[in-house]
Amino acid sequence: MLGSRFAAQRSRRRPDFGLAQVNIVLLLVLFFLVVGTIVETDELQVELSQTTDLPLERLPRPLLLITPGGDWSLDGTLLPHAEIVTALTAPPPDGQPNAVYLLAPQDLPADMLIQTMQELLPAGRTVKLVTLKSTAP
Amino acid sequence: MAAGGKTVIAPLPHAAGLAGGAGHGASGSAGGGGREAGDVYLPDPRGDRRAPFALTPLADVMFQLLIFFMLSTSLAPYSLITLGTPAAPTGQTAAKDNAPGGGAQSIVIWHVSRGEIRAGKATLPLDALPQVIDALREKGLEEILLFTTPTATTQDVATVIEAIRSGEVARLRLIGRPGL
Repeated sequence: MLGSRFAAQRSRRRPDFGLAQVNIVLLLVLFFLVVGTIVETDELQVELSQTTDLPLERLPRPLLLITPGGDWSLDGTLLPHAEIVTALTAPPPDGQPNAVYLLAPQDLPADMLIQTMQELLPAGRTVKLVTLKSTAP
Repeated sequence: MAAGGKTVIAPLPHAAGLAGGAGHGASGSAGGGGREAGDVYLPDPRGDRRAPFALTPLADVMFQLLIFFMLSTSLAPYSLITLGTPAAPTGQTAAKDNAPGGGAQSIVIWHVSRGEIRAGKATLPLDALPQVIDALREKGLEEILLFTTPTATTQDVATVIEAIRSGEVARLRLIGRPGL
């Protein structure tokens, strides 16, 4: 008798879809927070070199964009080379690696890439080249 | 029912703030609220009238956050190639055991150009690099000196470095042309 009363109450209670909806949306928000990187559109204006076997990484900061014309843009701000080197000479914030990440067009002459590395020498940072992971074999 | 009193249907004591009355039944409240001694307290049959937690504003905020992150983030298909800390152009700061031939037992010298590698008189397409590196590593390859040529692009350098890194060669030196 008690069981039948509980069953009746259960059938009367309507399922709460709102809470489930909020849970799913919260999970989606967390997914985009973890997987995604907030990217400025200026940073995507060059066609990056492509690789296939390297592991995926998030797009870190500071990002040094090298335009085909040889101009430099640090985290979306176009600056003279000397100012960028000076800015990179400052130690990175706590917890961040002492590195600078290059966004170089894939058809940029390799000489210009090496020249960029030489210009960055006074900054004393490890230089990392950002590439696009291609799914093609 | 108490004689002379009246029957009051009120919210539960914690909601109504009745002074003396925990529980059901008659409760005397001599204070305000228009209640008089002898009134009979009956719980509200509609149950606790506290406002339920509203999910709709929460869902609205969550949807706005979701749309913001969906539009502003990039599901980054990026990889990083460590080029290392640049060395001085003259190479004079390198220690003796870091100099070419100073510590490594087996070194090859490659010149990278557009889509190909030149090693001595042989020219290889970049596609063949993984097999070549595997064969060289079995012969004890420890270091590769990679010179760039005027026709080499960043893509060529990235392809070569990726193959070398995948082939687990111990050391690579990227060397530019003099006069840069």
